[in-house]
Amino acid sequence: MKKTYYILILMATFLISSCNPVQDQIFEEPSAQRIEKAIKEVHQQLQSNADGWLFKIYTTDYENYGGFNAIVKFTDEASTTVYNPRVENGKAFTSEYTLKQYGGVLLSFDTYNEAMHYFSDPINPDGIGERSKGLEGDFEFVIMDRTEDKIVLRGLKSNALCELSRLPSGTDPATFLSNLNTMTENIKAPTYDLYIGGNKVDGFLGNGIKFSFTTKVNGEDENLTFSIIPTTEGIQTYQPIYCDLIGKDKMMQNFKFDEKNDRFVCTDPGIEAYIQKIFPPINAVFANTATQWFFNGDRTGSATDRLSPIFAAKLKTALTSYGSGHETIKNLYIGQSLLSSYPGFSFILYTSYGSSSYNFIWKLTPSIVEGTADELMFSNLELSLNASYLKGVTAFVTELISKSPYKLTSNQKDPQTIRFTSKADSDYWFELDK
Amino acid sequence: MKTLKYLILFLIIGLGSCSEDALNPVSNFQDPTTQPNEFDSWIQKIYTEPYNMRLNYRYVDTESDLKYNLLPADRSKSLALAKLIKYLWIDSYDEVNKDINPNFMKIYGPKIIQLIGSAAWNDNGSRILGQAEGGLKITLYEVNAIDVDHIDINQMNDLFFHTMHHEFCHILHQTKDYSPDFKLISNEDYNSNGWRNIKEPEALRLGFITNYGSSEPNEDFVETASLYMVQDDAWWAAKLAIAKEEQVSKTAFDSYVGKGVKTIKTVTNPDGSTTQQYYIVYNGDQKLLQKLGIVKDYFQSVWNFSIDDLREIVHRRSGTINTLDLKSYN
Repeated sequence: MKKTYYILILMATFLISSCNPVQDQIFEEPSAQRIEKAIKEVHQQLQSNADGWLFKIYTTDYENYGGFNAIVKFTDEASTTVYNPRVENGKAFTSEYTLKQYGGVLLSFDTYNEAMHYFSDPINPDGIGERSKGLEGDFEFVIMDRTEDKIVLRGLKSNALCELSRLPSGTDPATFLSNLNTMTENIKAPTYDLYIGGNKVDGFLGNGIKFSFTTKVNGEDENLTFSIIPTTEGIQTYQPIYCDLIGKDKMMQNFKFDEKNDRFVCTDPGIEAYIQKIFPPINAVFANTATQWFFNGDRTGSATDRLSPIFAAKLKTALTSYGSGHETIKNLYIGQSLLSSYPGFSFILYTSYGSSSYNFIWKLTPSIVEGTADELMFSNLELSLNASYLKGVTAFVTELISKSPYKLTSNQKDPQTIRFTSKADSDYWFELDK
Repeated sequence: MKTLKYLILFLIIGLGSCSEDALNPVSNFQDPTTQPNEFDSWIQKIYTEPYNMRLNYRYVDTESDLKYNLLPADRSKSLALAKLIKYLWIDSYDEVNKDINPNFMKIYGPKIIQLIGSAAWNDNGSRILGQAEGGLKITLYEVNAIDVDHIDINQMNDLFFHTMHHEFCHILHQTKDYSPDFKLISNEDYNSNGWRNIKEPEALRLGFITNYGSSEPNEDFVETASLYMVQDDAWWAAKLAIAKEEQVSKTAFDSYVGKGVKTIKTVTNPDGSTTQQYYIVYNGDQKLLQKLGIVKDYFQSVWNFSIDDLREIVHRRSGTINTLDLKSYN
């Protein structure tokens, strides 16, 4: 019995010592007050710069689309003005914004703004991305980190890291965006080489937005892929790049444009690296293309002035002589197939009927005419996906191949449009747009 | 001794619960602290105070469907739509109920109307025009498609008011159900998955006013009611004619196999000669009229007002929308 009392008294003693109501607080104020205070501070910070903020925006597929720039001004507690170089040449659009609680402070552009919502429009005004998805960018951002001149944000749906950085006093949005546009043009080149420590890095590939190369990271082979955003000075990668070639504890992220040498030179400390723009001959550009070259007229081949009359007539006959006539032609292109299950260089017709879509693929091989810089052959026709259903189009592709070799011309240093003129018969020509 | 044992036990239990935390009077979940603007005050006065409704013209992620890529609504277009909703929808119900139940919209109206700028696009290319949730909320999409300077009532009906009436009828029948006889009229033809593949004439011939109506009885009921409210007699006459029969060529007539009844009509020409005309008779119009009869009876017997009266009011107001000031907060 005595033992029972001892146990009960011991338990009582433990409980007395454990019921001390004084607890150590990690934060001095309750969370509601802290978030309210943080919102107030962010409001003050955003409005503290009448010249606005440079908004570096990355979207869901930031690897393929790269980053976008916009200028955002927060004129009062609810109004914002946004300038996007892709929307009406950077015209100012005004709407509302809200700062609210969402596991931190959330910046929400919550009424429509043509410039800001360009990135999240399910039908992108420039036709980028799938219809119903667009660029899949955000218009609500969680604030992750703040310093006086920089705010790091995370897209609420995309999780992509974005950044607001304070623009210098007296910044004119039009001039600033024009400089960025100039840099966007400066970036364009058919191919690129990467040099680190004076040596060319093997297997470096890029399209002006996304770059990749295989290298060693901590002694292990790794394929590094990075996308970029134009800056007024040059380019910046989405995330810092670490690899054994540049040395331990070093990183490269910022590159300055060297106009004289047409290259982007890394400006990060202790790094000797640059990305060199390469302009191969025009036939090599097309033969080695990693992208798609579209027939003109909304990419459907309907612009008859961009094909010779004889090709235009034959293409029209080919495209109207198949199926039930209900299908809508969405795309007609030559280049790398967009269908991962049917990869490779091809002539491709993409159509839709109701909610269904169809691809018709003719594989062919482009090859440089030896000893020339501008002549190209098409050969090795192979009927691939659904091609056997469309005899008229097959006849057109056969004729297009038979008119090889073609002389390729473009008035652009980095060709975006190429005219193909048959060497055998100059009445046969067509133009393709990248 | 036993008493002492119990005393110590109570002491243990008592001390175990002796911690006392004061309840913090400040909620951890705060609404945005932005000052209300002119539009917010207008909504408070026109929607919230009289009808207990919240109209969200700003994008609110918790009230939106995150699986879609959506855009917020444009503020000036939201104002125009808010005024049109009040004039064409709320005021119409108020007018028809003024002597019966002046609080009808306050009681049964949705508590939240969420406006969204873009359509809600599905991967298959189809798009959602509106959604209702549990009788509490109606979401309207494509607000940014409104041209405030050129309001077209047909576009308004297609994009918004057909949807508003449709979704509100869901709220009404979820509150008080309609006659089970309605479900029996087309019982064997509802198809919850295949309705998208049914084209309009086929739906009409089966007795459905739209192909979506053929998905299930509740949708059929609210499609019938909402389209009766927003469309005029000529529209309905045209639909009933399609639903009734189809004139076909002799070849099509001879080869026809289906549920329709093959019928030859002889017509007399101006010169006295006769011509045979070939028809497939479906009698979908009979089913549509039967359904419409149940809809009319439902509103009269359950809600004590005539849907014809409501329709007359809606159409009268629709004819005068171009006189509305859709840009100011007056």
